[in-house]
Amino acid sequence: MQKKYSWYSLLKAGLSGQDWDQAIPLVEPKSKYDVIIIGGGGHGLATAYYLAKECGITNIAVVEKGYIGGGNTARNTTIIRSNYLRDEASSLYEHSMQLWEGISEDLNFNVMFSQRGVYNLGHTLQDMRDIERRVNANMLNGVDAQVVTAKEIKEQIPIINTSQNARYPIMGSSYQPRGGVARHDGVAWGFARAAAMLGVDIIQDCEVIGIEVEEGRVKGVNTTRGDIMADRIGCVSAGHSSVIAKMAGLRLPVESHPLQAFVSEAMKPVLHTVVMSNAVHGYISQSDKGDLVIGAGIDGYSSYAQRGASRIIEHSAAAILEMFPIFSRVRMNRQWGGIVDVCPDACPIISPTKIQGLYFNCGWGTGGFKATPGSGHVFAHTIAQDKQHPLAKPFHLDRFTTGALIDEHGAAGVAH
Amino acid sequence: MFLIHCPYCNEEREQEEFSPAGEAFIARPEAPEDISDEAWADYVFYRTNHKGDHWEQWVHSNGCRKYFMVERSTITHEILKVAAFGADISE
Amino acid sequence: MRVEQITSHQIDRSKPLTFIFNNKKYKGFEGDTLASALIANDALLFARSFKYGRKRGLMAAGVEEPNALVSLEMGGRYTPNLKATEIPLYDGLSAKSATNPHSFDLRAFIKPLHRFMPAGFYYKTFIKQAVWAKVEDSLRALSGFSEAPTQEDVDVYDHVHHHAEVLIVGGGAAGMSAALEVLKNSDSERVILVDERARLGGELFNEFASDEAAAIWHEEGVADLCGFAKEQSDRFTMLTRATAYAWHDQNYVEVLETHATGENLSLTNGSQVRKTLHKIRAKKVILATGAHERPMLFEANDLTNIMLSQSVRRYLNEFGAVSGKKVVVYGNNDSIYQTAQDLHRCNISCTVIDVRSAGATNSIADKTRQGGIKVMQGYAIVKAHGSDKVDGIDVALAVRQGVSWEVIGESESLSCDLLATSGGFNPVVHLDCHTGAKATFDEVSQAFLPQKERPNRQTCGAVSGVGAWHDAVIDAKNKAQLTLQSLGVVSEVNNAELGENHSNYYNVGEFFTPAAIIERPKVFLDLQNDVTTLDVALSIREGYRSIEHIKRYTAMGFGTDQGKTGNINGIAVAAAILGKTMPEVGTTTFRPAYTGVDFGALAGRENGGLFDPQRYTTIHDSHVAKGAEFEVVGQWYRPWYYPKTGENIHQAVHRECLAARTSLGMMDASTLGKIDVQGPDAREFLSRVYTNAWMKLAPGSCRYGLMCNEKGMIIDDGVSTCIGDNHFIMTTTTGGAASVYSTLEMWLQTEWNHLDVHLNSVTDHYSTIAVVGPNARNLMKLLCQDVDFDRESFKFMQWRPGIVCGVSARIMRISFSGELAYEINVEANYGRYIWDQVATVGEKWNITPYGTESMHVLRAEKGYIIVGQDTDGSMTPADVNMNWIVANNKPFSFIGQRSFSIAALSAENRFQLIGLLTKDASVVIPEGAHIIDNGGKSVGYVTSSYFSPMLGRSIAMAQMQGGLSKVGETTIVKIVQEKQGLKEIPCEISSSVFYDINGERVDGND
Repeated sequence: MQKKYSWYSLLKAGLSGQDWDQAIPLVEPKSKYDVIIIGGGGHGLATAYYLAKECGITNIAVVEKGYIGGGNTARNTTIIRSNYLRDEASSLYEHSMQLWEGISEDLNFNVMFSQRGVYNLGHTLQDMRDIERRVNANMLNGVDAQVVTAKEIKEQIPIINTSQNARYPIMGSSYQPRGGVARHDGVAWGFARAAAMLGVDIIQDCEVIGIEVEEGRVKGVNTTRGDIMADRIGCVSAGHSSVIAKMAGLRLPVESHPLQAFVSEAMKPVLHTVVMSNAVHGYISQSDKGDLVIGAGIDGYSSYAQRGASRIIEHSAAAILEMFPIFSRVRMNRQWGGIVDVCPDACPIISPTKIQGLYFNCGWGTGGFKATPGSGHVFAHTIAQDKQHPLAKPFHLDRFTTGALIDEHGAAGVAH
Repeated sequence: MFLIHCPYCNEEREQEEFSPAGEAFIARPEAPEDISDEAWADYVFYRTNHKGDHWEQWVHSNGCRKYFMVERSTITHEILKVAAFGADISE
Repeated sequence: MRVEQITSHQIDRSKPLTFIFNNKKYKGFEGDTLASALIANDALLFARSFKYGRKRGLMAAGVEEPNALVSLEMGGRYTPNLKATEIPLYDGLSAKSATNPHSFDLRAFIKPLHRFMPAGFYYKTFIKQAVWAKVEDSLRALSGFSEAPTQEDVDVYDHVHHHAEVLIVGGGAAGMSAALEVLKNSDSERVILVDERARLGGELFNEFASDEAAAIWHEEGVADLCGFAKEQSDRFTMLTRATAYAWHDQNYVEVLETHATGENLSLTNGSQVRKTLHKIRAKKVILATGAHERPMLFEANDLTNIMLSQSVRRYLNEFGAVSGKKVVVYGNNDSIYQTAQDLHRCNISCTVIDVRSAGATNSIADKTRQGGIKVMQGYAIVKAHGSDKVDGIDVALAVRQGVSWEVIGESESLSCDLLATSGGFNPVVHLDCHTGAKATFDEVSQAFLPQKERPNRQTCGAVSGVGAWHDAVIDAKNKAQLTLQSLGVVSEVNNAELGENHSNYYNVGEFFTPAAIIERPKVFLDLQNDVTTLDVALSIREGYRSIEHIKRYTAMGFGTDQGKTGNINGIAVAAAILGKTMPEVGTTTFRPAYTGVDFGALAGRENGGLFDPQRYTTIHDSHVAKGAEFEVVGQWYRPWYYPKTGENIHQAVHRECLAARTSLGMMDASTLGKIDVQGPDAREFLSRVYTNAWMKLAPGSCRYGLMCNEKGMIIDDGVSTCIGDNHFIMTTTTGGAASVYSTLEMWLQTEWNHLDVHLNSVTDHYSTIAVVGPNARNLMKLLCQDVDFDRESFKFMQWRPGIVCGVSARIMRISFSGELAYEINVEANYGRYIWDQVATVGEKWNITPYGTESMHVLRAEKGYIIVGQDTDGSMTPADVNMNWIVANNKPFSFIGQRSFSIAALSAENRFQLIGLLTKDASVVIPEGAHIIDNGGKSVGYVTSSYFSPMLGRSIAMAQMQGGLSKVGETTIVKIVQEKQGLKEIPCEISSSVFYDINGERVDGND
């Protein structure tokens, strides 16, 4: 069965009893690779893919302690946008957005990237000032953005409550038409399959339990499936970054927190776009399956338990009902939590470390999913050339020492 | 959604009454002006973020408003010890 | 049809009800569910399936039902996606299938194409982004079940908290027994029993027909429990129609109690709320959650009237309802014989097909045969027939060969109109696993049982694999005793023996997954998502081998039933294909909610005005009376401006500003945060948290302070007043009050507990009224006689105690407008009185109340910053040109000071606060507009921008890279024109102080 997905191959498979090859081959780890990527989430898999595709390195292992895409990749609300305030952040996320726009074709795998637009609502005068500032910044940076009034929002989303009855009435919003959502599992699998086709070994059920460092140089990893050697190691383990760092004797400026989300039972389509409100902590879209996908706020304590306080879920439901009162009798079907690694300036770390050959890509907080292709792309170049990709430069670990923080907290461009 | 024993109120109360206040034992350097930028950054930004039994600070924000320390598993959320500042936590 | 000879236990035949389903009128009885009533009416078609559009009917009788999704009622009570099995019938009920089984369905029409659309189909198609963008919406339109509601909910929801020593989840035989045992053996322990059904008893009703003892035990048990509920209501709470849907850390269990599904509450006498969310914190939890039956696998096992065996039994025994006359009961365990006997007793023809070969189970088979029922042992159903509904089956010999099954020989056909199947039982371990417990596979009962030991939790009855009701009763007593012992209520436990073979009462056979069956098409695992065995096989073939990947790739278990019936079969099929054991494959993660929870119930009363506390000053009513428009700041409602009839915001602000500058204005400043700082080390404390010096501030004086965080960034500002050497009152910004207070407490308690300082938040204690303008002194002289207001004796930045209109007050001479101004602080409850007095006395000078908008204009004219508007968390004092307030030589390195010496914080291109004067004085730059350099790149942005009535021109404040060195230069500001691109505004960079540059107005002009 040929590997490429097409109408022809689907037809052929349909006639031959779905005789497909393994998209993600089962492989045994080799003893040595050129590069090891720790973490088989979207970012890690994307890193491996771009290393193989663009950097001429194909002798790569992605080691994943569970199953690929099982962490934050599949535990978020899949919102994709690039309307960040700061130039550094918006360049990175816009780079990612442009990769998203061709990603399904590039990977030959439909990740169902759906540009149904993203609204970031404002509920106070200061929210609206921040929105104006951010939209202006976006436009100057070539990122599509608009300021829309409450009336215009109501025309586009008739089910939204723009009345004064809400505790924090909607005053307006920013709107990014190119923003949207994607199918999270598809993203992980699409990158994994494409990477595997280029020769990358994807090794699941393989937990890293130690990192070998000699004279300031990284040598390899100890795993539950034996030792694997490599001169270059990229750590892309999100919530567990501090744990991996500790194995190499490092500390990171991140804290791991629970971030929760929930979905409703599936209904006929009624919400055709993505609506986010930082002020009331509600983030919502409706998936192609019909369920409302809702992001909640972050829990304030550190945790690796993938669960948080139900109070947060209750508050998010209340926030959603403030915006969409018609959903009161819709039911929550399932809730879950991820572990997000939060950086003090709400921007990621894409950086070499003081250990030669050891690189970290972490600290994405609540906003990592949207960056998946861009993050992988710039991190791949950073590892391949042992030199930060220009777009990754502002995200060096050094910024916490030099004070050159990016501080995306500045305007309402923070969460998700 | 755990229960926390407030060492000041001497009551076990819902987590909702409390607010987390970060990792414990992040002491402010005694002479900030005399230390390196690296050491200062370590104090301001870097964290252990331990997976396992972890000392952290909580404040009884909707209660007595006292800050205290809690040793809690970041894996199971089980609370192992609670201590007032200055208390001996060595057992 | 309705079976007459059954003394059905749930329905009351003397109380007929009428209802509407899919626009047709039907009759049922009180006590029916919508599902049982429709079975009784032979209305069996419920739905079209998700992917293939296949017609589907009921499969189960409880919350595990995957097919029978309906929407209930219309308008403000319209409820989507309810399972017909969970809706108690009421008179006038009106329901509709979520997906109409009777209409044309494209998905069914394209049946020949189904072979080309396996699991993961969409990952392989529409790969071009432009194509996907075109087709996605039409595919979306096919998805989902019910239509979404269109109107706001007319009902309300409550939250209730409980604390209990013992919570028992599940009110079947086991749960009832556990509750009784606990209640009988304790005096004061608080006990809560919850069950999802309206009547206690669970599956026990099924036994009444064949076991009189069960009926007697149930009757007595219910009576006893009701007795406890009545006589010991202070310690025993019984919640029915209440589902425990989530279990969090430390036995925090959430229970959703339903008072009405779609009924009009005002027509009932009971509750005023539709649902109550009970939040229960229990010392001990006893889980008696029972088990769900799982179906058998064969081709076309999804046809209408192929149901779970125990569900068929339940409809028959509880409701006298059955959907066939010629029944086949098929399965791998002894429970199928009970179903057959119950049907036979009602003169319904039936045949038993037992996949287990003759041998171990001969005695029950023989006994059944003797009763006149045909029994076939060692046979498997290979395929079911039927178009809308099952009308026959193909059976063949089944043999267990070592660890696997085989189907051999030719198949023969049998006709039937109802097929009941049982593949064993899945203990309801969901809740137990919500906090991370791992279910473990038990070979004996062929099921995942709850983790053996967990602190503060016991399990009993079917959830522990104890299937027979009499064993469950004993098991529950034993577990109740252990629970009481762990509570210290009883010291010794005498556990009774359970019956022989209690751990495998039904002799459940191994999972029936022969290749000859699972390699067939249309062997459904998850009926709601149309997941078949072939989908699982494909998933594995393509390398999605982890059970979590299989779930995600095929969507198995993603439906509203969350895979309650199908998932375990899916695991068995995966195990068979992978050549692994069940425990090696493992389960997917169980997460809340066990059954759906209405968003409204989650939110409770927290909507509209109760979503977040609304804070008003005590003066609020006077503002309302004056016609103020309000701005939300933090949780506060602050007067924004006071329009007179016909005025817009600009006209009102213009008038208000001129009044304050030329005569007299007044403003409610009560919302500013106020923190009382007391103690011998109060000065030292202020010196540490503010950037400036506080050691020498004399009592009677005030000082402005700027507060940073350790990063060196401005977080707050405000004036602090020295009341005495050991006593200060600090003011903070309105929005920052709470966080500043807790930050200060943190420093005091965690780092500086040797400082003798105490803080108290006193924001609500005082009302603050600012009187502003050249006539402020004249006004104060009239209001307050015991203070000398002479400009030399009561100087700027001083305060005096005094009696204002008979009320004790602190009068501060501080100004946020640059004008002569006083702030009158009185106890909060006198606020409105003083405000009204000030307004009356001030009439002489045409005193004008002004709101936050005018306040912003007045302060911007003077170049005063608003933290959070002109700064954004990345601004140092130097950035806002306020180095004058940084005392770098204080003995203690104040908060943030160390960071100022980091390279990046003194870089030349940092954003710095400047003023902007548009070349065209009438143009007001929109706030948020950006300053651009010659290359068109953003080098800053406008933080504040107004038309200044005094200057007769626009003014703006902005953050600009290296801006302070560019004062006097010309630059360009670009603004976004409504969706049309950018427009340019030429400006001159200026100082951010625009008016009264030398500060002469603050003393007034008298």
